[in-house]
Amino acid sequence: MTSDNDLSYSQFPLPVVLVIGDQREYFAERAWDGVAKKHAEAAPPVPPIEWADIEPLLDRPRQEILRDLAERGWGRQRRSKARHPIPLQIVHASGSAAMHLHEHVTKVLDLFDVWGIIASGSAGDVEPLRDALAGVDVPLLVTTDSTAVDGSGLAPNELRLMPSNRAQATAMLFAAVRAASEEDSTGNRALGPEDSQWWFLSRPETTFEYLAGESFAAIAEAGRGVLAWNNAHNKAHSNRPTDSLRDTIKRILASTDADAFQFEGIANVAPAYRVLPVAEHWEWAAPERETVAQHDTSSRPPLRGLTGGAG
Amino acid sequence: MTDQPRSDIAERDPKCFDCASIANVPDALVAEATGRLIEDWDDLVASAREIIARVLAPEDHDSYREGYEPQGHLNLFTNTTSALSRVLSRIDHEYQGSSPTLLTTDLEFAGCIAAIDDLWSGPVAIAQVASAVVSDREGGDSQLHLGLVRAFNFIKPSVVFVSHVVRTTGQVLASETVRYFREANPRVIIVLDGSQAVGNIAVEHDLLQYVDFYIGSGHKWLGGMPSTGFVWRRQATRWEVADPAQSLAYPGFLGGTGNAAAWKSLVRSIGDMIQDQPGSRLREIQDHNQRLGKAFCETLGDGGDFRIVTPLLDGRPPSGLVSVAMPVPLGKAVQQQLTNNGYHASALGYEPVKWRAGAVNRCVVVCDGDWPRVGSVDKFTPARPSRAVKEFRFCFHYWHTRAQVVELGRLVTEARNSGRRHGAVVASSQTTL
Repeated sequence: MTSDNDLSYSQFPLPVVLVIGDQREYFAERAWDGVAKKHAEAAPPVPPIEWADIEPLLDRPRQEILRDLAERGWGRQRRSKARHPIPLQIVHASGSAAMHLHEHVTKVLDLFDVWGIIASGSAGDVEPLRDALAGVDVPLLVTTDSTAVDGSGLAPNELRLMPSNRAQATAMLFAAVRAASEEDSTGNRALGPEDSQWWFLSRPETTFEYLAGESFAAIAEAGRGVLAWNNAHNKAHSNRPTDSLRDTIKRILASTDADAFQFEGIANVAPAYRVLPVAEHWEWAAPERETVAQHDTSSRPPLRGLTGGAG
Repeated sequence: MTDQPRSDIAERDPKCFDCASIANVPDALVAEATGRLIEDWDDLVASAREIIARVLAPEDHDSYREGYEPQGHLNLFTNTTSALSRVLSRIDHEYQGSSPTLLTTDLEFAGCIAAIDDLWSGPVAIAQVASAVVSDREGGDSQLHLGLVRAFNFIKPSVVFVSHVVRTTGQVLASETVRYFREANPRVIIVLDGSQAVGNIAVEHDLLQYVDFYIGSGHKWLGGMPSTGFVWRRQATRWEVADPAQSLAYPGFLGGTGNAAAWKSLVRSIGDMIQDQPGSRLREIQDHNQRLGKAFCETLGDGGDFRIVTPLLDGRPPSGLVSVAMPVPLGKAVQQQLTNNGYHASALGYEPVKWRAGAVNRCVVVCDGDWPRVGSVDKFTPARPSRAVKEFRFCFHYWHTRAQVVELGRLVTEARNSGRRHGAVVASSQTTL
């Protein structure tokens, strides 16, 4: 029987990446599909752990859980440094059932070696998950399709990922530029560029499956102990040209085909730019001193970003 | 090592069973102190670095591994708290803005916790391991390992700060535990507080190879004058840590501000200690200290009015540090007895740390039940005895003899008997650290 008393100095919990989603939303299912597909590409010896398989175990006493995990090949074991994490699904209900999310996340964090968490949901509200992760140092990647979430509550280890169509991209850029101009929708001061920065990646297609799968692959490649901002920084830089915000927005505005919509990646919103809405067109107001957003990350604070592209 | 007093270290106080402030200033050093500026500061610093490095990485150790830097790099500070502050500042700056979590325990020195609270911008998780460690007399070491590993697995910190030798119990952190941290997360930064370890036990390669920063004190078990401390860092190039400025004047003990005398005394003291064979000498010293601790515990007896907090294996403590808990009235009697006879030991006190205003991302992690529990904390209370208990810490050094230790035990026992005669004895109480 496996128990904590048998914990030797060289036995480690199974490395996993949590994929958490609201059971009522199709996003959760699509995100899991994307992760499972990406995991399968590596032909791993251990298949993904679905919620239906793990949930019944979690209600049992700890020692029984440890025994059950060992019997299923999910227990502690000596591992090589090359081992990849296994996707582990947590499906939850919203509202009052969120308390169970806290309990389940706590148990899973204790039983497994969680390298990262991919959370999916339409509203992107992960407050219950943040509560469950209090003090825990694991990158949290949130896939959402909403730009309406208040960015002030983002934790430094939290990264927002969003598939987009043109309308969302416009709203996303508008929110980003507002952040740069330090104004919110009411004209009051919003978060400045130091607090809310946005990444745009050039992709032919960004769906929930794709985002979740790429997130999983990114976590697996980065390895244990990576911080979200570091991971996003590394991943976002790969094979992507940089461009200024001005040129990017012009390209968006010039595109008439949503399916073919693409835009180039940029570093972040330049604080020097301000945007003045003029009818249906966006016009740039010339800043007092002409600067161009440079892809200079030498002094950047941590980044929390969105991915965008043809949805 | 014999049980006879050593003539070459006659200036060591045989009645001092404390770990700090134990250096007697040699007359020769007093004569040198004329208030002048030291002229050979560079040579002195170089000597200090060299000899401290020998203590941390004995050249006759046989476990040198390819790719391991046995010397690392040493920075000299005035004490361990200032060294820790510099290390934390450096790491916090490196991770600026990404708010990584730092994991520590409720066994740490309050001054270190205060430094962490002051300098660490990210979350701080305090693993409550003291209760489990102290309550399990036979398996205290495994409880420490389990508590740390479970907290580490759960919190997944980016930085870990723990003691190599626990200041309140004398337990020694296993190298296997540190190796576990390193293998579980190769990126984790491990900072060890070795202020109660260096000079008490042998600090081996098996441990150091997994550690990023090792902080030590020169004025505790190494027997130097205050104020000397150091940081050994494994990666000399990754972390740019410079020595702080120190006064170049001599008289650290005649009312001046200079630290040269302290460093000279440390160099001399370590030289006396390790002679030409640091590896074998340090292991010999560790064994000697443990045997003295065992003799002391046997003299006291366990149970009844005295509760030996330090876990014993076959009657031996893990280091030369032994803690004994006793009812407060007896504790006062013991303290008086020791003082009357010129003995020195530490009475462990209650040192709460209240978090600085605005530091909200601090929590405690308790992993002694089925599932971890995370709670907020508005102030940190380090491991402490219950109010009904007074706890003493006795430190047995390489210059102590068995006869001296037995005499100490006799005095303590005499105080207990005297207390009994005067009705000061209360029912034995559990130590509830």
